[in-house]
Amino acid sequence: MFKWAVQDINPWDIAAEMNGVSKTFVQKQHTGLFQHEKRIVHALDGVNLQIRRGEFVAYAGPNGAGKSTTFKLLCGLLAPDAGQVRVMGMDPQKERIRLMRHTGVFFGGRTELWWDHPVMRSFEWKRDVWDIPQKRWQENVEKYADMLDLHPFLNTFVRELSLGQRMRADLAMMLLHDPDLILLDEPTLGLDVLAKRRMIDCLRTLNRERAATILVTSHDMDDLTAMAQRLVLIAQGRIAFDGTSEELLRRTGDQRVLTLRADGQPPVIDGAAWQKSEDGQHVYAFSGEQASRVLASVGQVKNLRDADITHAPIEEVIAGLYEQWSR
Amino acid sequence: MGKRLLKMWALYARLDWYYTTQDVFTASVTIFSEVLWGMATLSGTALLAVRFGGVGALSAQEVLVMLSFHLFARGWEVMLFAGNNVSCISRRIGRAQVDHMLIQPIPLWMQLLTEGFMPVSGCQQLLCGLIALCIFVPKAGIAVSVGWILLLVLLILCRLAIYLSISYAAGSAAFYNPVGCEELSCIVMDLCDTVSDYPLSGMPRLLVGALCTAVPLGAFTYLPGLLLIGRLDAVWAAWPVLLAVLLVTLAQSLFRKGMKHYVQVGCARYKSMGHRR
Amino acid sequence: MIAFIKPYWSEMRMSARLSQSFGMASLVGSYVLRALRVGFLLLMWRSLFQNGAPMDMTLPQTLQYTLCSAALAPLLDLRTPAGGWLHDGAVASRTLRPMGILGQLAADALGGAAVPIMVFAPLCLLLGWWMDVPLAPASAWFLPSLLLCMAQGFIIDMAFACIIIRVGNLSWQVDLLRSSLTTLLTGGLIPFAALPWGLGRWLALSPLGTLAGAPLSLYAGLSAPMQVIPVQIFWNIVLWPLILWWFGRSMERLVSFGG
Repeated sequence: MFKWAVQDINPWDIAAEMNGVSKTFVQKQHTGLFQHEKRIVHALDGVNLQIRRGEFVAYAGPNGAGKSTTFKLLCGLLAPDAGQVRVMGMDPQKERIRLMRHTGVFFGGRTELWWDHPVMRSFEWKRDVWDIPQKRWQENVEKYADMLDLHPFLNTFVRELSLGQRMRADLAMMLLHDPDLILLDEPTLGLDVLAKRRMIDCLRTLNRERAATILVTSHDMDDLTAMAQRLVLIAQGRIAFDGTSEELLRRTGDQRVLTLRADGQPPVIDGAAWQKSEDGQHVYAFSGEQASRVLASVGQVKNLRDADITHAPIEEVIAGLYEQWSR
Repeated sequence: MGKRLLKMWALYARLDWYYTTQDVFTASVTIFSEVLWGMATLSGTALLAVRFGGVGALSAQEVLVMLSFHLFARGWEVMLFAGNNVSCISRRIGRAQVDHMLIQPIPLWMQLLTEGFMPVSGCQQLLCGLIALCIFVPKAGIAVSVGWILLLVLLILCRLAIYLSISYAAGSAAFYNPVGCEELSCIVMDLCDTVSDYPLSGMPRLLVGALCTAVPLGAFTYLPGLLLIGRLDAVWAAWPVLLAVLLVTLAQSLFRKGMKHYVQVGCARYKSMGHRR
Repeated sequence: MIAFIKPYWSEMRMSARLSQSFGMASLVGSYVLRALRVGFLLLMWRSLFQNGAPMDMTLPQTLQYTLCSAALAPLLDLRTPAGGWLHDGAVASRTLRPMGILGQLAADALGGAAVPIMVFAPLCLLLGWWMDVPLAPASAWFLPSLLLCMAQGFIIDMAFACIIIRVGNLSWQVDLLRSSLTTLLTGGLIPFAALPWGLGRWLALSPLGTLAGAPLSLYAGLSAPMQVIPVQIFWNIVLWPLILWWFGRSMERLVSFGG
């Protein structure tokens, strides 16, 4: 921790809090030569959200739901039209500088790295601007270079890095000042499987060892459920769900998937609805309550070569919800 | 705060040094292009002054002193504020790069005062201007005293303040129309550059008066030039000072208002060009 | 034929519409500022001529030269987006279209020049009429000279794009170099006849000198068509094959590094 850190902020238990927050935008629609119409977009509509210290929260929703707007309100980049936002006990608008000393912000589509300089130089810039003590900075550079495998390209110009390398370097840079609150907007965008895993492991380690509060958005539900304990879904500017992924599956009917390998036409399975067949593999969907009926029916199938029952991928559950909300 | 400011200047000076010296080719091209640009923008007026034997009541030598001041002062503008689009602030605002500034734990004024610092890649015009002053001031028969140097320093400070104020006042429009006004600061600065390096001597009096007051383009080079060559009494130096104070106040007020609007409305677009690249 | 031209016409329209998306205020604002600049330049010439100096051009010719230069600036210094492709990473999407690269660049350049010409040229004419500047061209040869200037400007822009591709991340410095050379050597700002020491005579023969300076000198009646047009034709014949070859060689580098 830095010399100003202990006295800098009052003790806090709630990392981020939004009470009755609303935010509206006006979009221009081009309708003719030099003519425009205005369209009102309610990005957030009376949102109440509380994130406790040390939580790892996934924040998801369809495109245009209000995720990025939420992040910008928490960082102080935007002011709410109504309601109150507090982050670590501070008003992001009024105490921006103090807040930024304790917050790390990562926008997946943007970079804070210096394009025409090597990665290490961007890290030095971060040290000077955030006033990180030299020893602490060196330790963190070593730690995150190991965790995110940055050593091969620490001295490479940022402009010559691949997307995955750049995002890992950006993540490391964001973490150098040991933020208490970490906001990540689409951090796994465009990353390969290995890079994603490294990033997720890094964030989970931070959450576990330093009790860093993490709020992350992504469209990859598998990534989110791998990272976070709590899932908040936002749709049309409102919180639609706030709980664990297991609670979400229960609430949406505990959908299961049955996969059978059998020759010939897809067998009729009592309690399950046939979805598709391909190369002798037949897929069915059923609710967890029908499990015993389904299993009994599967036992009657002739020429059965293999059977497999899994939970419906959360992606499908979420897709179903998004579709419901869009109607 | 002072120590922090010096530290930030040192940081950006280092970054500029590393960028320019990454290889010989980069260093050569950077230095050469800056020198050529400085020479090119003044050559038109200088050649005309030589061709016509002066402009209005000013002799060719006096015009060259004025242009040397222009180059020297502009060198300071480039060295202190040209980096990272600090002086062309409408680009930062219009491209939503203000977001990058808001997530740093230092005050905005400190960022704007330091991020543009380019002492290595941006000092060529300043050096050329200094050399030109050293050549043309004695040739014009001007006596260089401590008072004259202090006057030069004061006029450069006033010019920096006026230059930035105009850019920021115009650039604040980008808070309200990010796409349409993205280049507005640069367009306004381009106008200032074109008009300000021309000696106004011989122009209609009404125009000269307007350009030294309401539309203070004459305060960039013409007025300071007249003071330095001794065509105006030193007491007239109060006018650029007053203009600078007025314009800084106006620019600050417009910028603050614009920032309030920005955090209320945000910016839907984002363009990374010019932000650290 | 129509099927061939249609995609390029569409590209041109998109490029022209780009400025429309910025809104009326920004269009009007930037052109008013530019008109002020032109007005100032015209006043500058009037005050210079009051001093009296032997010149190869009269005040009305000089004013006409300056006004035409401002009105037709986008055509006299044609700019294509090629120089920005490395930085923007736009080349991949361009090569995936069923259109020639050169055709796309030409369409973009012409489209980008269309709105400034349509808005600013009448503004300049109005300003010129108000300030008693003769508006009619001195010679009809001005038009073919302008077309040659546009062709030459296009290929010179491609040459700068090749330089930018070669130097990679120094595109800003190359742009600065280009602006410096344009200011000094094309005759767009200061007519060659106004330069001392006979500089103008030599610059008028250079590849950059036959850009803006050539059609403008015909417009203002400063040169004879046979002095200007053959030189333009010569430079077009020399530069086009050379730079096209260079651009072809640069394309692979652009696609590999441009993203």
